[in-house]
Amino acid sequence: MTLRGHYVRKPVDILDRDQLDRIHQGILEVLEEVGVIFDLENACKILEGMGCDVDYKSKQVKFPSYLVEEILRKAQPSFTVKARNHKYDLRVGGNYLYFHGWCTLATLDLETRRQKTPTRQEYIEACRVLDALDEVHGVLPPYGSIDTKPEEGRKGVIMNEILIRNVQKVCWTTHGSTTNMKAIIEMAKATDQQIILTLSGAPPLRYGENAIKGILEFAKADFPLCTLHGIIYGANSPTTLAGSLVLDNALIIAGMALAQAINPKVGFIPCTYAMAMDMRTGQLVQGSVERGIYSMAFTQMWRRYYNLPSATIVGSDAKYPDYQCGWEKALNTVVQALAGPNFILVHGGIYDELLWSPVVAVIDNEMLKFVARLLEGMRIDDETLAIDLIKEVGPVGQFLNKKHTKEWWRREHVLPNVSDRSSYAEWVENGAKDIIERAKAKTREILEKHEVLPLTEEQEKKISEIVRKYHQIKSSTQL
Amino acid sequence: MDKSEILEGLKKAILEYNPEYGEEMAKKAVEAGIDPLEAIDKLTEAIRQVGELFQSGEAFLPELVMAAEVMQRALPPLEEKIKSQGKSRKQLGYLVIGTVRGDIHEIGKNIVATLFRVENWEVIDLGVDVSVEKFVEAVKDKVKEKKPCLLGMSCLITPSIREATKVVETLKSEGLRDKVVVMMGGGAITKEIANQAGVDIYSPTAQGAVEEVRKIFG
Repeated sequence: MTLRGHYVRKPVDILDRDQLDRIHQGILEVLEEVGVIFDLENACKILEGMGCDVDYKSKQVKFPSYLVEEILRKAQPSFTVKARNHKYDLRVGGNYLYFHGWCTLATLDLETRRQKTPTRQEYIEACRVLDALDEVHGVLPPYGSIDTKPEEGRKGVIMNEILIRNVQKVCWTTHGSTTNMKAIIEMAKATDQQIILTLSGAPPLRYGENAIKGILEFAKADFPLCTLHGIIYGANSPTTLAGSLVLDNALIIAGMALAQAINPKVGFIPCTYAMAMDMRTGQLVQGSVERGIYSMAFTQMWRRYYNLPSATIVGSDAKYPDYQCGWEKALNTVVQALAGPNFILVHGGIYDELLWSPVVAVIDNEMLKFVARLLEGMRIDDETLAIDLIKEVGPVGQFLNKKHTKEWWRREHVLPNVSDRSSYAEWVENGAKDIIERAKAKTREILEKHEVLPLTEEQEKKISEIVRKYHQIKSSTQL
Repeated sequence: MDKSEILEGLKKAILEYNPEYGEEMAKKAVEAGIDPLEAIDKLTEAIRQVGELFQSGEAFLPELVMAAEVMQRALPPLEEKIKSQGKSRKQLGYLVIGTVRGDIHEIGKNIVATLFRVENWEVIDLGVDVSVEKFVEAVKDKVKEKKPCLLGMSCLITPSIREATKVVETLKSEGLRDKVVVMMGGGAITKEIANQAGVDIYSPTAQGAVEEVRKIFG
């Protein structure tokens, strides 16, 4: 079984063919003349074997244009990612769009409005809420760190175990230490699933050692990879959107090349994580409209020019789920979705990578229901035109008592969970609550009711063994 | 079909929103000599169940209205039988209902009327754009019968609030106000407006109005 994404019919293009050609030519030129630094000699050797020119002193790897064209031609246009519960397996490719949760470093205490390191229990709850929400099709670890004591064992292993146990959908991970990467690969294999690795290069044009090890480990395991380079317009990348698109894609293609050299059939998801910088303060900007434009162009480049998968990210600069958070996320989600990427990472993030809340994930889930409906558009056929029904009802009748209404209204109209559509009187009577209060109640309800598919007895045994083994390892150098 | 199958069939017709089946089962109940009052009780039980589903968010307005329509289709053969037996169906009283002058919206008013019909109230539907005089005359006519009397006024647009208030004032001046329970609802109405207009029951939903009336008359 496969969980089908939302189908984006007639994706919106913002560039014309000539503009795409110019961007592509720019990418070829940068890769051939500047190249990308790979901070691990082994990676340089592999790429040299593919046909790249390598300067071993600087570890700078240059890609001849014919090779870049070949890499793009050979990349997988579509592939399946296995979830622990196979009814949530994903089929990546084509115009199918999946929504995923976003990942951050800390949680937001909605009462005090202060950032805090989540506890183990808060991490479990965040995972379970994401597992329950119907517009979350896969789960990035919502928090990058949790509050654990050294005697409890390796934090990365604890977090991976929580993720595996509390999520039955496709899970993602970030490249931490080699030990943690090996641990999650083993856990995933023991539970018959694949984990997607978010791969962070170092713009302008460099891959660090950990990112390279991530590519090597995950490509070898035949687990998909997704780029997540923090492109900052005007700081580590040109301030112009077009220039950043060239640089962003050159770095992505270099990573794709290494993954392909290890495993030609590995799934690779180019994802853009580009942001502006407020030149008055140096503060990074996540909810800007420029991200929307950039993501649309990025998606068009990968989906329609290269015919390969792509992903985008939605963020906000607000520090609390307020009006600004709402419009920044909704605006960016809508324009990104209309461009037709295969993934949009969105749920739960507030202050981009710095704040996350399951309550916000619940609100985002509702916003995404609206976006999904927008993508469906209007169905036109005899049944939806309902001409016979209009004749039957006549000029003064009603439609509420018609089978057509009963059968169609749920299909045609989104029924919200946490948005307020009551009358003013009812709203007052129910305590004049805002969406945050209603979403808190919904979150509590999810945590009380949602059941995650348990591990089988055999999986339980294997996971316990893997966890025990990796907790005993003091540092990654021991493997 | 035996008696219990027919009674269950009546319930099923409502829960599956199938008017044709409801009518068929009602006719079968009459043919099989089932007490029509018992058959009506079964329909009422099912309709209340749909009301509860509506309250809990598991059923929606189309289901509520369609269930009520099944009831409307099933009732005539059963009521005819009751009449032929020289008995009468227990009617709780009258509901005089209409959309006030200047307003021609009727969906909300129709939903309320439908729900009250299945609650065993005889509904006198005055339609839309109803004048103050017409409302008062209808109430005057029904209170003569010494049965409980409800007046429901629907106002979707704000100018109609003034008209509804006039109806209440005229009922007072005609000495009828304490003989009728006045309800007000519709998009233009809030609890405060309803209080100012001097009505007895305000509910933002049709089902809510039914609940309020149940509190008074059981």
